[in-house]
Amino acid sequence: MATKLELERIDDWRWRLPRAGAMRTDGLVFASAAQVRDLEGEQALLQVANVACLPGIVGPSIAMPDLHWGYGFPIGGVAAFDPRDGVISPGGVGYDINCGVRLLEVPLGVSDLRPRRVEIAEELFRCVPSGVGSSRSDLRLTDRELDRVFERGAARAVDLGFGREEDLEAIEAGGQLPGAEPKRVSKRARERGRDQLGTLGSGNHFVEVQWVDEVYDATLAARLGLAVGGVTVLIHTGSRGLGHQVCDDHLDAMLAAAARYDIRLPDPQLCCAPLGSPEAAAYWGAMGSAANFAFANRQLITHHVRRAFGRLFGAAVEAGVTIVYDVAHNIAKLEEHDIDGRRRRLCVHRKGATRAFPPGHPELAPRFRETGQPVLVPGDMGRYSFVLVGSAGAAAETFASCCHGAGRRLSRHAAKKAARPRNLPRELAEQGIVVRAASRATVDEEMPEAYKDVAGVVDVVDRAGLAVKVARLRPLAVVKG
Amino acid sequence: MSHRLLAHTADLRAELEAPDFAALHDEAVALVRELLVGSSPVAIRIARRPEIDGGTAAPPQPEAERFFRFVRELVYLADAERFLAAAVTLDGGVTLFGETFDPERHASERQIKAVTRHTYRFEKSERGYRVELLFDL
Repeated sequence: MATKLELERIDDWRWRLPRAGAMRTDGLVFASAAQVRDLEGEQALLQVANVACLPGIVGPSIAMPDLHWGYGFPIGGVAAFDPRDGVISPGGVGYDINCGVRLLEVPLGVSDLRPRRVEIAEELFRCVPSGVGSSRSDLRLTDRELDRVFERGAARAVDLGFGREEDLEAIEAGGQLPGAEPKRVSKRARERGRDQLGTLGSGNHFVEVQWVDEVYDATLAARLGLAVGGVTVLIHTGSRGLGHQVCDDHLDAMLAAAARYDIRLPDPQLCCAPLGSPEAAAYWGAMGSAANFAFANRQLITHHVRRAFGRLFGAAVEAGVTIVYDVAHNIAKLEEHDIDGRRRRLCVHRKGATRAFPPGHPELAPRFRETGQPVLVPGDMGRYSFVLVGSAGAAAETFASCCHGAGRRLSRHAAKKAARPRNLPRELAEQGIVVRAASRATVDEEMPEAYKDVAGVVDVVDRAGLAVKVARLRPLAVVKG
Repeated sequence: MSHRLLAHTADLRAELEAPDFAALHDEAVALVRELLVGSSPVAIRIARRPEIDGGTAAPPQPEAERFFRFVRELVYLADAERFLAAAVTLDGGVTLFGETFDPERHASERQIKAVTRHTYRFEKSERGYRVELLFDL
């Protein structure tokens, strides 16, 4: 893409990236004018254009307001492909397959928790392994057990005693993607994942204890179990080394496939294969397995979070911890969407983007049919995160997709340099936030200033009609890798 | 010989320079070790001999691809086996020397998910090698 990329303003929240060069369609960027200015000099817009070059793309190459430079697809990118002539790309899912977030509601008030936030941070840090080499010494899965996790996802974790049946209806796709084929998962991927179920990892992954400090829609909040002063826990992690290896394994095959099917790639990390090809089938079966591993991972962590609260606050609190929702933000799925008045089955890639089904969507569990699907948008560890619900606008414009986070504004290198003379844990403690981390490097790289203000991101999706703001959550205790 | 970090908003981009192919491998070992455990010393206690090029049945790979696969193997061994490489020799194949991650002696800096092909640059000139790598963290 040698063409100069210039956005055309559609309205206050929408910008068109006109089709040019090898692009097969326009780009559509959701952003405020200030966010667009921040994209100047970024490679993210080029990546939106690159995705628009892929065969079989339906509708625009979409970017959410948390758009930033990724590898292959931009982070915050959404693209849908026709199964007849479109493609699937591991680069549109990412290395951390089904990286996602899960929100728990804890039957405590902020005044109960605040005096004990150091204890809960320590307890969570102890029982959820994180950082380099994080693994579980109490759980090492055999190949047979891994296969069951690949096929059944969170349900297998529940079978093994790590949760309850009712947990499953608050998880995207019931915590179990169809189409998983364990035989597609390599030995190397299995070796990476064998003892990583129930672990956090590092980087931007976290377990964060929060409190609800503001409610924007009291009716929706009440339906989701959220009220001002209530306590929540947000878990952010994915498929760990297993998913990373699945991606790596299939990138090589997809590079060869792209050449074989004469698909011109603007970036090798966008390598892909036609949906329906043997290469696509192999990736689909492995990706589904890794996605289900990720659902099971968050289910195990949920179990350990419940136990941690039980140890500190008693059995009634442990029993009362419920899942508000669990949503993937790195995934490709077959979904039905209305395109120009016609119902079509499409392969929707979400790379750093969240599904956002509107009220009434048939795939939602009954308890979310009236509210719409909860959309969980983490911010940074110093400010806040948000809960929204999907709305009809997302179904009409973005293949029912929404933003997934704040989006970085500083590189990790720049953040670490900026944090070097400071003591971030102490600064956060002065704000009432306890941070417990395996690594100072991670805390520095994840400093609040490294991220855009997530409030600006959710304002765009709210005002553009993609989702409705429900509640804001403030951190109390953060566990990082 | 050197390696340094470059700007990239979300992930970690690095540049490596070395006078020859063997020294380039040394730089990659040093970079990955630094990303994983910072300046913690890594002892030479065990060796690994990974099949970088897919084994004898696979066609020979050009240097750029062999090197990319070598870095990918460093990431794999660190995650799957907690193996920290401290040194490498090229002897027809590749032999890595190092030890297993020990949280008592090694700082936990950050895990590496993968090395990506996005912005991968591999340049060979009279002065030696210059490579750019992008890691997903």
